[in-house]
Amino acid sequence: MTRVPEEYDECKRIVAPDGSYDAAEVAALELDDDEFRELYESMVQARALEERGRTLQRRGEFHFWMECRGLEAAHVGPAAALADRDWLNTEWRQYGAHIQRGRPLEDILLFWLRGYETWETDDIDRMDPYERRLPHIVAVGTQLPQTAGLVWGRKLQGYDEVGLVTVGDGGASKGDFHAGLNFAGVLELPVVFLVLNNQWAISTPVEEQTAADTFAQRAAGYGFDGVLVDGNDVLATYRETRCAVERARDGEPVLLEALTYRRGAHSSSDDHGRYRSEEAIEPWRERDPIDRYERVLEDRGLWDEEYAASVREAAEQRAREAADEALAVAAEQGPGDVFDEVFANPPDYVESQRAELLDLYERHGEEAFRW
Amino acid sequence: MAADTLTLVEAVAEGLHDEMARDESVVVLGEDVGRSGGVFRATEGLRDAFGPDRVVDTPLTETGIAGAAIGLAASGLRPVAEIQFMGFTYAALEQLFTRAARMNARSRGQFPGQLVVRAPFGGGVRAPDLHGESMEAIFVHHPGFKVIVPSTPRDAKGLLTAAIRDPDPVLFFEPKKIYRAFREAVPEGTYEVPIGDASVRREGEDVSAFTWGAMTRPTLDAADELAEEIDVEVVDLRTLSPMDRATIVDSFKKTGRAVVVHEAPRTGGLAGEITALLQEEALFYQEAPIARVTGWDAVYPLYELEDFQLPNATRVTEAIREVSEV
Ligand SMILES: Cc1ncc(C[n+]2csc(CCOP(=O)(O)OP(=O)(O)O)c2C)c(N)n1
Repeated sequence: MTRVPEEYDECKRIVAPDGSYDAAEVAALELDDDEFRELYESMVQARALEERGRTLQRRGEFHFWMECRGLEAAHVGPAAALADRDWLNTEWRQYGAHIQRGRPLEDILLFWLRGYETWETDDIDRMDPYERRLPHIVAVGTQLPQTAGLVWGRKLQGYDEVGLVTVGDGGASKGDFHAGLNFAGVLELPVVFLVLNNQWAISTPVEEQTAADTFAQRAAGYGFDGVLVDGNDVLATYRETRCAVERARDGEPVLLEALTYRRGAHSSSDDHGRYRSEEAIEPWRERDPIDRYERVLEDRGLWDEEYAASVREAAEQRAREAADEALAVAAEQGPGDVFDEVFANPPDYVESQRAELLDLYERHGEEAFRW
Repeated sequence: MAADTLTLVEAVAEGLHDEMARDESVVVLGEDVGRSGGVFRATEGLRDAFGPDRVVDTPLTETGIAGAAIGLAASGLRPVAEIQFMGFTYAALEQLFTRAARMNARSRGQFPGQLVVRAPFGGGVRAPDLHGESMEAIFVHHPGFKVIVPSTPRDAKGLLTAAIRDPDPVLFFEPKKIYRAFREAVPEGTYEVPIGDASVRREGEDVSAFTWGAMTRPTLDAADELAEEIDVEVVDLRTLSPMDRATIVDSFKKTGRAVVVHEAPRTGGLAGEITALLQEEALFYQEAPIARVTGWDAVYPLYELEDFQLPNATRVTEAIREVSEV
């Protein structure tokens, strides 16, 4: 049984599924027109990127892809709530969060072509907002205590920076969840923990992940507050994260839970028809975060069909260009890259293995290696 | 016995099915093993056959899966836990090393720790990070486990059956690159392939090639390619702990030359262990330096770069030539 945000009295929401909202609450956000539109454009861009990624995966140009449609409000709103100097550690399907922080699309795509990430600068103090993150680590949940450590370190060095770290409903089952929240609570660290409850961990539904009603209520056990928010309402995810970030800045960690639903497959390797029906997904199409938000923009004179079409087209165009560029960069990889940066200070034997591989490559050619 | 032709992953599923049917105390647990039949379909059909009480989709916690399996075993059941990829056994290591491996010793045999942990391992399927690990040596190094790596469907079923029946904790690592690469006739019904016996896949007089898992195929390919010039014996270890020392040593005594092929990184890998064994047991039979063809000491590279990480027939051929020319 999937859970819907409307079931919970305490679930924070600004825009209801039917698009209705309290105008005073929207006004109280104090966003300007550009900021309102940016949230929309980030969500549309994320969806366009997802579409491109899926196409390229089907064509065999990408080996693997994670899907994000329907989750855009839970990704974009929280990222928008951070100050430029704050940190954002995500898992890997959160394209919208990275787009909102200004990460170039080709950089997001390159992760899927090479498996590693790059930063423009190695000087923390000169990093762009989108660079203020740790790499995606595929071991689910490990990012939680790590983020506590990161902002702890920054705090000890005198910086005023908050870390927003996300984890799925599945990842919240790991011991790392406890370790991360416990450290943050005890040491009064400026961390916002965000459980992106999309109700599936591959094929395991949330009710087999936890017997509790919400993840937010777990916060009590760590001595801080938990807040449940409608994950398909971008204004609500933005507002609640902003509040949480302010509190975290004062050394009071917060646990947020964004209740949403993964409409796509887990990844390109997953056939979700094996474990759930199309009908189960339908109610969430009706709660689509992008559609829902359009009503708000329209009322403010910020949205019409023409604008929507131009945003979509531009997003698709950018996604196409970024993919071409990323594929071109990835094509430049060669065998020597296998050894790059495995160590910051490589021992001799790594260098001699590199020479061994390059020698084999030179003598036998690329064909001998391809399978 | 009638035989079915199965892929390696189908043989795993059949082995689990047949043993669950035979022994009610066998339970299967892990992430996605139930309603989806496992991300590689290795547990396909089990939930329909045996119900959600015996085929359990667990929360996403490897330490929980391993810990619960240890407890289930102590209670008298026969758990077969799946860890989705070998790279995620890291999250279960504390339970496996501190509990499973010493259950027998620390309870003086009261709770032997009869459990199986299955995990797909190795590269070659263009999967994301931590999905290509080949870290069998860390488990072999840790006393108290048995470690098995099948390389054929027939062995997969028979070894898995033996693993479930074995009183010790067994790590059963399945080479996912060859999950579906070929089919083989697999006997119907339950049967055991004994733990601890290597298999000589190809007899030869000139050079011994020792390998296991997915690397068995490129090694056999290399042996075939060289057949006119060099007579290569290919030994598939099948069980890494306990290792079949007698078969390894006997083969080397016959040929005097050896190549060890594994996809795991070189430093600290099992090729070193096998080389040491040959030094101890058969030094005076040795005709040439022992060669290692292994993965590099690199953080496992992804996607297109995987091709350069994994040993291939070309590298094995070259190493065999090298040791035969000395
Ligand atoms: C420690 C660990 N175990 C298993 C996996 C394999 N795996 C990748 S994603 C996933 C499900 C994650 O679900 P959830 O945390 O709810 O996040 P979602 O993908 O739904 O956003 C699993 C089991 C992993 N990456 N890490």
